[in-house]
Amino acid sequence: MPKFTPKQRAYIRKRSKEKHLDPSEVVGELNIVPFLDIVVNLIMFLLATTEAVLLISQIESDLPKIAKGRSSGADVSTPLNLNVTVTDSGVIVSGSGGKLAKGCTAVETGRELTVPKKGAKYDWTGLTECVSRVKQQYNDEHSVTVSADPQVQYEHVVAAMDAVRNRGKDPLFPDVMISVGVR
Amino acid sequence: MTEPVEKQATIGDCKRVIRRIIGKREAPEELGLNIYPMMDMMTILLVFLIMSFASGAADVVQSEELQIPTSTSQVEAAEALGIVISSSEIVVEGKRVLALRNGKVDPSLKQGGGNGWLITPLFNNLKQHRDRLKTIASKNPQRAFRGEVRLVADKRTPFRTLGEVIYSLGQAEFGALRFIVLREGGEG
Repeated sequence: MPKFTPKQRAYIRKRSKEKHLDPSEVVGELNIVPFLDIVVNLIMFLLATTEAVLLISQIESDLPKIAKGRSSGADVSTPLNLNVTVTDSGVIVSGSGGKLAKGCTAVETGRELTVPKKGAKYDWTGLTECVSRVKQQYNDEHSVTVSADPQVQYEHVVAAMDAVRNRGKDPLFPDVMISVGVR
Repeated sequence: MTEPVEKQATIGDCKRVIRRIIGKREAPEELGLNIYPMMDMMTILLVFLIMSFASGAADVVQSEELQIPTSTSQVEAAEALGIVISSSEIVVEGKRVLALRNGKVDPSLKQGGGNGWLITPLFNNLKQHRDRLKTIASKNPQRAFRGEVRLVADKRTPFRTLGEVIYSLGQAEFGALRFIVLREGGEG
């Protein structure tokens, strides 16, 4: 072992001393953990609200076109002109021939409704059945006009549109128009 | 006999000793998990979600006054002029146009009073939107004016009120109605 002079010892002590850097000297990394927390929370929130958005769809419906002069030829050629009117006590299905009776096979003139309510609820399955019977006779027809009494709630109008648009996966009258005229 | 003479340490000996002391110390620990890739992924997800929100039908928010009916329709909701009919007000493109009383329009706001169909403030507002959309259409043929309207209505709205709104829409040349509904089974 060589002999160290006091000067050399001091040198060794100085050089081998553990360095504690001043915080300002440390190469700092940004603490991104709080930022990450915010992002994770935002994603959770967005995902939770997206679920409701994804379940929204639309029903396409046009206003009936007003025929002008001779151009009304297209309307005249329409033999059916199917109308579905939702009233307080049931649904009336009518065509250019008149109002359909219960069962939807014959035309009648009385005050009876085509598809009356079942208890307090509308019989939408009955309406679909009725309209599909009409469809069998008029296979080329695709349009239907839906209307309702002033006090009937919007949800029943939507349900009526659903009932006449298709039966399961078979389309019945997919072109739904909405008429606001008073019956 | 002479005692062995201790050799005087050189600068090389000093450095060797220093190296030995430093080498004995433990290597500093690796600090924490690297979360930068995770942050990248999260940021991309966030941007994607915000983008899909911006283009989707995100402005449909249900409340006590606005309950959307359910339907079997599977058609994706598309972008169009937004009209909201809640039980207390009618809103066009996020701007309240008139108030409703129990879901009904005040007769003084209609042309022709109680029996009238045209809601004057709504019609005036819709005319402005129609003119705006037609101006856009004239400048940009890809955005032709088709008179499309996204109608979000409370399911308890009486058909009379709905009819008056639709009539006003028709008068303002908005004839393509898109009723916004909840897909069946989506209410729960």
